[in-house]
Parts: sequence; C-alpha cells; structure tokens
Amino acid sequence: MIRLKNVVGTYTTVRGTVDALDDVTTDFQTGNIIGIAGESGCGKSTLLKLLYGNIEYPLAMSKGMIDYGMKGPDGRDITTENISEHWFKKISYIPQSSMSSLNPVVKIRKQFLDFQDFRSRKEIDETLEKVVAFLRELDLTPEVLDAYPHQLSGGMRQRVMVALGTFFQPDIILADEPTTALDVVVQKGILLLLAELQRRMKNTMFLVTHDMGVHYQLTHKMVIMYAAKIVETGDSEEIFSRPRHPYTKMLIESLPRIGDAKKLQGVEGKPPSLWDELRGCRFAPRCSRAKAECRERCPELAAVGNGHSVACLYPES
Amino acid sequence: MPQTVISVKDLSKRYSLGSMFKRTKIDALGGIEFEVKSDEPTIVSLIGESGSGKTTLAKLMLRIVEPSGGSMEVAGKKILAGKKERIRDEDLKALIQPIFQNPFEAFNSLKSVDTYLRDTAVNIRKAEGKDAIEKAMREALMAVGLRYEDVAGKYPNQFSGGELQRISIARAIIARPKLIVADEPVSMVDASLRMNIVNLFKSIRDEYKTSFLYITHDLATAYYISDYIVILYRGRVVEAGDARVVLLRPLHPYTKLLLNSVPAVGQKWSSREKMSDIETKEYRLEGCKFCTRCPDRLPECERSQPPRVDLEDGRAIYCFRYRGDGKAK
Repeated sequence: MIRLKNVVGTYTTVRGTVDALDDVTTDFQTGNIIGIAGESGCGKSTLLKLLYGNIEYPLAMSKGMIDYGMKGPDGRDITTENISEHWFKKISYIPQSSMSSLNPVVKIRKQFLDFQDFRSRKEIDETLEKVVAFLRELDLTPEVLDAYPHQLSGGMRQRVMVALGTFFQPDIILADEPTTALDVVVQKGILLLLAELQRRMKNTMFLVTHDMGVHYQLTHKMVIMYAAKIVETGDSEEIFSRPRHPYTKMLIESLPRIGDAKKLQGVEGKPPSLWDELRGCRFAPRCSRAKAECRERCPELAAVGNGHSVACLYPES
Repeated sequence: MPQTVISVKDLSKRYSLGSMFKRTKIDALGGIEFEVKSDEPTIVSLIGESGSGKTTLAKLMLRIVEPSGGSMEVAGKKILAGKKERIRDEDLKALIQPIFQNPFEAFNSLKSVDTYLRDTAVNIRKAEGKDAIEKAMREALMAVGLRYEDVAGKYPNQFSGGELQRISIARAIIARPKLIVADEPVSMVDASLRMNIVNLFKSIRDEYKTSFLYITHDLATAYYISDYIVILYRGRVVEAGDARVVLLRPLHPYTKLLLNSVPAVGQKWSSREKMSDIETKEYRLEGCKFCTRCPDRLPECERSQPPRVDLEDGRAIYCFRYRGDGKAK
C-alpha cells in the first residue's frame, strides 16, 4: 500500500505561492495499474513528481507525507527524502517526451549502462546480454543499442524509454502521458506492452493521461483529479460503468464513439484559477447538480462502498 | 448538378531530406486525388498518422508551400494550378481560412486578441467604418458563444486554450470563407471542452454555409462530425467516401488497422500485434506503401501502385483486393 497523507504540493512563483496539489489523502493498492485522469492544471503531473521524489525548486512538498511501504536494500524505509537513491531500481519514470529525456549525444548502449558501477568487463557483457534479451521482448532489434536517440523513430524511442524504465523491474513505475505524442497504431502497441510488463512483474504502475479511452483499456484503478484535488477513486470498471462524481460522469459522457450518432455536450465553463481563494466544491460553478451548500462547503473524499470513494455532497446515484 | 466542395487532382509535394551529399527525395504527397461534391456545405475529415501528408495538404491549400505538381479546386475556384489559371492570393484569403492546432502559438502574446478580429474584418471582409467592423466582430464572437465585451482589449494569456480556440474560429468566420481548414484544432484542448468546440463546427456549417476540412488523427471525433472522410497513408489516399460508410464498414486493411487501434470506451483491445518500425523507406516503395505491414498482401502489391477502384457505395479504395462491387478478389 502506498499512502498519501495530507499532501500539499506548492509552486513558488514571482506572484507568490500556489498549491497545485491541495491536501490530498488517499491509499493506492500495490500491484495494479492506477490511472490518473484530469485536465491540464489539475495537479496530475505534480502528484507524479512528488511520488518520484523529484522535488526541486519551484516545487516543494509543503505539507504531508508519503508512505511507500517499501524498504531499501539496506533495510531502511524508503521516504520522500531518500527515494532518489532508488531511482530505476525501485521506482522509475517514463516521460512523455523521449527526445528530451534521452541524452542526445550518447548512444543507447551507454544509457543502459549508466545506472550501475561495473567492476569488470565481464559484468558489463553480462548486463548487455540481458539488455539485448529484454529488447527482443519489446520487439526492438539489438541494433538500437548502437544508435543515437535522433536516429530512432518516435515509437522506437518511446519503447527504449519503456525498456530503460522497466529493465530493473522496479516496484513502482510512473508513466506520464507515455504515448501522447504517438500515432494510434504505435500507441496501442506500446500501451499493451506496458500492460504485459506490469502483469509479468506485478508492480504498481501509475499511468497519467487525459485520454479516458486509454484508461478504459489499461487501468485497474482510477483516480480522477480536478483543480488540485482528487474527486473520485475506485475500480476502473466501476468508475466507467457507474461514475458517482458529476465531473467524471460528464467526462465519460462527452466521449465520442464510432457508431454512435447521439449529440454530445462537453462541460461548460472552465476550471477555477488556483490563485483565487476557493470556497466550497471546486467543480460547483460548472456542475448542473450544484446546490447552494456546494458553494459553501468543500466535500471530502468519502467511501461510497465497493472500494469507491467520491468527493461530492450530492453524488450521482 | 452538385457543386464541387473540394476537388484534388494528382496533387504532389516532394521534399528533399538528408545532408548535402546524401540527398533523398520524399513524396510527402504522391499524386493524390479525391473529390467531394455536394449542394450542402460539407465537413470533410482528412485522417492520417504522422507522415501521412495531411498537414502538407493544408499548407498547400493555404499556399504556405508550393506544390510539385497537380491541381486543386475549392468551391469551383482553382486554388492550385498554373500561376495564370489560379485565383489571386487575396481572393484565396476570402475563400479559405485556417484554424491552427495550438491556440497559444497562433496569437502574438503582445497583441490584444481583438486586433486579429479587427484586421480580418478590415482586410478580408472589407468592412468599412467603425460600426460595421464592430458588428462583424460581435456577430462572429456570438456564433462561437463569446461576448464582445469579454474579449475586447484582452491578451491571449487571459484566456484558456478552449476560449482561444473559439476566438480563432470567430476570426476565421469574420472572413465569411467557403472553407475553413482546421488542422488538429482540438488536440490541445482539454477533454471536457473538446466536444463543445467540435459542435461549433456543425453549427457554423449550418448557419454560415461554410464547409470544413477537418484534419485529425482522431477517428472518433471525425466520425462524430464529418460527412465525408479521406484516409491518407504515406502521402497516398487509401480509402475515401461517406464518413459512415467508411468508418462503419472499413475495407482497406490500413483503415481496419486504424479502427482497431482506437482506445474506445466500451470495447477492450484484443492482443497486440508485433510492432513494426516506421521508416522513411516506406515512402520509396514501388508498390502499395502499406504492403510491408499489410496482413492481406498479394504479390502485385509490392510491384505497382494499387489503382483506384470506385465501389457501389460511393467510396473510392486503393487496394488490389477489391473489385468494383466491393467484394474481395
């Protein structure tokens, strides 16, 4: 179990500070693919950064704590402070843009060997052998090891990122919009590959994407975020078949489907600015079900049965 | 006799790649043709993945680049042809207007957004006098669900992506074009706002009698709004026809592959196919560009370009597998 307790992620800017993640408390069951959905500015990338322990100015975790429920090889608990020592081995990050994440002047081979200190030539060769075998499982030829990142196509580069992120079989994989820049055919291949790897390694994967279709295909659990808060969590099947938060419901209902001629409507209005002082439910100004109370009282994330939680004063039935 | 909405004949665009000593020529568009005829304004979707040539086609239409060959007509006017035959640049602006993908890049952050609306009203709509200009701006903003008072004098950073994209659409319709070219207009817009923008295209089509060329890789929104659909692969048309006919009963193996890859809610993906690697060499294939990835490949596919076959349901398909009655050979 990975537990977040009252976590606040704050950015410092010239205008002052702003909480991009505001008092989030939740538990994530390990061994699942956990989908995080929400719009730009909802705090989903900030949540990943905090989980990864990649906390640098202007971002800070100003309150709260994350309990990873894991110990390092030295027997100490893994915490936000020391998790960066376990990057790639215990926790890895697959970013959206592989072009800006791979070192452009270093061949892929070297990027696979950078994680470790080797004592002998033999160790290097053994590791490379494993790398080659692993690449083959990902439908990549060993020739990519001799290529520079720019010589590979976008889809191949992203598969190299997947290979780098999963080679050490980490307990936690964070994938931040891993296929957004790719074509649908390549996207399907890479996502199913990720799902296959997760099934085999039985680790916990956080998948951030704004594409609800992708969440439906891959995830076991869902987290829906809105304006720096978690508004709904639960089993993906349950969320898609019976969404309880009006925002989730509207998001799912606004998805076009091939073969369906029904007129669709998006959600009117826009998310609130996090700079403003926010009272009440943050979705209330756009919510068709909002009552006077919603504008006054901020709903807490509360269980509604079946492992399903929702932050709404008047959830959908 | 139905009017020509868009007609493209043998249109090609060749780019050179590589270094000075190792040049390769790539046909971003290798002689495509399709025609859409209708008495009603039509939303035409142009579907393709990266490298299919869909953005090249948009650039050619707006004369951002010059074609290597071929011709194109929009609303009965020649827009791409020999320099003497085609309409002047000025008339082209009144005929076709663009909407771009990234609303944050389309506007200069140092100019208030209504400058763009005003410039279009003055230079393209030829509105004269303060009242006429303001009226044109008010009308256009109303059509996209915004109020002139909320927009005038504001700068791009004061709007969300969805709002800016609405303003882009308002700017385009001030010119009263016959056709709006929209290149991935909603891919940068948040999911909750996306359908509202897409719905605008339908209402503008009906109210302003404007046709759209909707360029996208998103098959689901294309199904939702388009009347006609053209599917491109590596600079060639593979299948074109009525949107419902093509997307509900796809025939070309590439169209089927695309439809199978859509992450749809309510329909889980089955197994994954072995991943192939997209290479520039696909552009140089003699035969069908899709043949190296095609599960239904025939020997002739590798040797020559598949001919155009017109089927009874009105679609055109470029595949050796099909005869005129839509049955497989």
